[in-house]
Order: sequence, then structure tokens, then C-alpha cells
Amino acid sequence: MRSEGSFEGLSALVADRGAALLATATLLAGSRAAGEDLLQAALERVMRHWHRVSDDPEIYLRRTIYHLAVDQWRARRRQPEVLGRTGTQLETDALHAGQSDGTDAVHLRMALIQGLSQLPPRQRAVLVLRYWEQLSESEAADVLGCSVGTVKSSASRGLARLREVAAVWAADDSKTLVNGVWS
Amino acid sequence: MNSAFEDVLTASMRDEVAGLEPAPDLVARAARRHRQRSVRLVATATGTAGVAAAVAIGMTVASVGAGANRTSAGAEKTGPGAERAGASAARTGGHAASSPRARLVAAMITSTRLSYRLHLVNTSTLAGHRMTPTSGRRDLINWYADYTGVYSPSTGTGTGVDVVRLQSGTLAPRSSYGTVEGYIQVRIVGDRYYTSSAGNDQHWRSGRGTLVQALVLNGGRAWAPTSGASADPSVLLAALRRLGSVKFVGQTGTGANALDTYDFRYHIAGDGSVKAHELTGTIVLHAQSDLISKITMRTTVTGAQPQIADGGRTTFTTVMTFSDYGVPVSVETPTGVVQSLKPLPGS
Repeated sequence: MRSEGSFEGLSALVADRGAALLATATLLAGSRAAGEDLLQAALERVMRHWHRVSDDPEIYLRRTIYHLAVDQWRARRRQPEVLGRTGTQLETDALHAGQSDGTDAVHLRMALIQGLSQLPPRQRAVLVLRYWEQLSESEAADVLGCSVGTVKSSASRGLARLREVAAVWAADDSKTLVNGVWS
Repeated sequence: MNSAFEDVLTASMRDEVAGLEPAPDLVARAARRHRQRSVRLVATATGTAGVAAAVAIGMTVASVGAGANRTSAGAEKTGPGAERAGASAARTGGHAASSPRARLVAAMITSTRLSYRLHLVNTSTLAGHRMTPTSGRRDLINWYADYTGVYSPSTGTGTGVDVVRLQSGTLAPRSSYGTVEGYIQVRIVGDRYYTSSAGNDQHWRSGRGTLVQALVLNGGRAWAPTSGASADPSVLLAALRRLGSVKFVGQTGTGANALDTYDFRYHIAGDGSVKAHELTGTIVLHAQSDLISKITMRTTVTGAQPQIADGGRTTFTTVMTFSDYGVPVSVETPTGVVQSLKPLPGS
């Protein structure tokens, strides 16, 4: 059993895997600052139950990050800094991003990330698990503690919304996606 | 297999978080908030129990009756009046916490259930003497302790470092007064203390007594009168319960910075080394959490034995500042060569 008040294992984990953990938290929370808040909240939660963490602490911490992102942050109605835009404003951003100045791809990615942060927490978490963590649907369901069906439907709705954002951006300049590259 | 759009989404995520690194103090911040939360929970959990305990203690003090009155002239009276107050508090249940004395006692109890960081400064001065580089050269009985450490009342263990400073009276040149001479490691394990010069973990001196006594004895001076000058507020609480009186002074600050101040005093019987004397002090509480912020104690003793008070009056002042409640405390009993010291007079 680990002794309460001694979190050397967590310090080592964050030193080794902190960048990846913060990346996940940032994608879930919508900004670097909010991501660090989320990661810190997850660390506090893990410390609270540290005596029960007998497996790999990273697995426990990652699960906690996702659960906090889906449950606690939704309950608080906490919105990341970049989420002050409405859906219409987001589409307007995407339209502006379509300018042919050589930075189209960057602008599209920015629009997608903003669109991601606009999604409901569970849809966002599913997309991060599937396309950032590269987990299968069943693995994502295991992390979130929900059914595979829920993961499928959440991913489908989330992707559909992001495709709308991309479609607005692409339609403006009649761009087409060929082999993963907009042209 | 991902679609092209999904690949773009993955690339977008990768770009968004490229180069992110967590703040170096992230785990420390989380640990600090974790401790603060634990403290709040303990304080909340012990609040109700503290009220009940305060009522019980109020009645205990009341039962001391006339004896307490004789030793606390000029301060809050115990005895029949206090008994009525205790009974009244018992009847009114939670309202007992609104009584300043009950609040102080409850805070002392709560604080003795939590670990904390302690900064203790202890000085002794002879009457009419000012410890400055220009003070006259004489064989002074004075010393100065500047101790910082952590302590867990629940386990009775603590550890810290005392800064040793050169003092006047024995210095050459005098300009070296107050400069740091060295450091002493201090460990408290139960009712025993262990001291060792920093960097020398194999040789310890050990005795039975409070933290202040440990610091004093290590400096070669014996001082026994203030049994309440311990790292543990429960020792002071015991003294207050037995002999002392408490008076609410008032509140300063607002909100999270609000502090409640109490004056206290208790009588210490004379013995073969010092005459009977009185110890006075101040306790400052955080008004919101009811946790102890600072305790200041002062007493002047007169003794016939030169090693105690040089035949004159010596004033001892102890200032204990408490912080970082809930801090982890891990102390090992020293191994290696441990030299036992003789018990202090009166301890």
C-alpha cells in the first residue's frame, strides 16, 4: 500500500509522461490553461485515492482525466476560453480560414480544433480517444465506462459536426479533399 | 481505417498540442491543494466533535473551581460562572462554538489533530541587557533559537533544523553577533527529542522533554519553567485547562485574512531553581478555519541558581508560527551513537 502524503510515483510519472498527459487534457479542455487545470484536478483526485492505486498510475490518471472532462466539467458548465464563439461565429471563422494565402491547411486545423472544443464533453472525449489516443471503439468505451454503442454514436455525431465546419470552409473556395490534402 | 477527414483531424490535434510541457510545479500544486482540501475536511469533521469537546473541557475547567480563580487574577474567571456557561453551552448545542473560549479550545483541539509546519523563535534576555554588537562583554545567560520544522501531534513526531547564531557577551569580534554559526538537526519521537549537528547523522544527543527544552539543552542552558512551550499545542492546551485563563481580544482583517486574537496566562509554581512566576501569551486563530496561526509566550523568571537565571531576572520569549496544515511528516528514530542527556530540572 502506498503511504498517503507521499506522491513520488506521481512526480516521476508527470516528469516522464507529463507532456502527453497535458496534450490529452488540453484537447479535452480546449486550451492549454484549461488543460493544465484539468490535469491538476485529475492529479488531486488521484492523490485522494492514492492508497487504492495499485496498478499503473498512468492508466488511473488518464481515466480520471477523461472522467473529469466528461462529468465534472460538464456539471460545472465550465467552458474553455476558446469556447466563447457561437456555432455561427465558428462557421464564419472557417470561411475566413479559406483564404488562399498558403496557410489554408493551418486555418482548417484551427477551425477543426475550435469545432472540437465546441462539442459536448462526451463527444469531444470520444474523438480525442479515437483520433488522438488512437484507441479502438471498445477501448474507448472501457476508458469512459460506457457502451461501445455510445462511443459509436458520440463519434458519429462529433465527426458530423466537424465535417460541417470543414464543409463550410471547403465550399468557400471550392476545395476538395484528395488523399488527405485539401486542394 | 481512417478516412482522409479523420487523418486531418488527427493532424489538427497533433499541431494543437505540439511542444506542450506541464509547469514544473504542477504536482506540487496539486499536492498543496490536496492537503488544503484534507485540512478543510478534517476541520469540518472535527468541528462538531470540537464543540462537544469544548463543552466537556469547559465543564472540566469549571470543576477546578476556586483553585483556578486563585491562579488567574485579572483574567477570565472560572468557577461557578464558568460552570453555568458550560452547562448553557451544553444546552444550546452548536451555539457553544460561538463562545470565544469554546472556539479557542475547539481550535486547539482541531490543530492538535493536524500536522503542520512550525517556525519557532526563542530568545532569552537578561533584564536591562540588549543583545547588540555593542553590548557590554559579560557572561550572559542568553540564547537564541530559530527553528523550522514539521510536526504531527497525532503521532508525536517531528523533524526540523535549528539555526545557531552567535551571541553577544562571548564574541570576539563583536561584529560577528547574530551571524549563523551552524545548524542543528532536531527530531521529536514521542516524548524524546534527538539533536545532532548538521551533517553528522551518526552522533545524536537525546533527552526527554519538549522541543523548546531540546533547543535550550542543546545550547547548554537549562530552562524548565515553560512546559507549554512545546511544538504541540496540546501541551499548551493542557496547561491552560489546568491553570490558565483566556480572554478574547478581538478580530482583525476580513474574509480569508480575518484573525481572532486571544490573550491567556497561567501560573507556574516555583521549585528549587526558580521562583513562582506567570506565563502570559497570545494565540491568534484564522477566523474562517479556526486553525492556530501564531502563539506567542513570554515569562520572566527569577532564580537563585546561576545556571538558571544568573541570580537575576531573565525574560524568555517564544513565538511559534503555524502553517501548511496537513503537511506530510515522516520521522525515523535516529540510529548510530545516541548519547542520553540528563533530565532537565522540573521536567
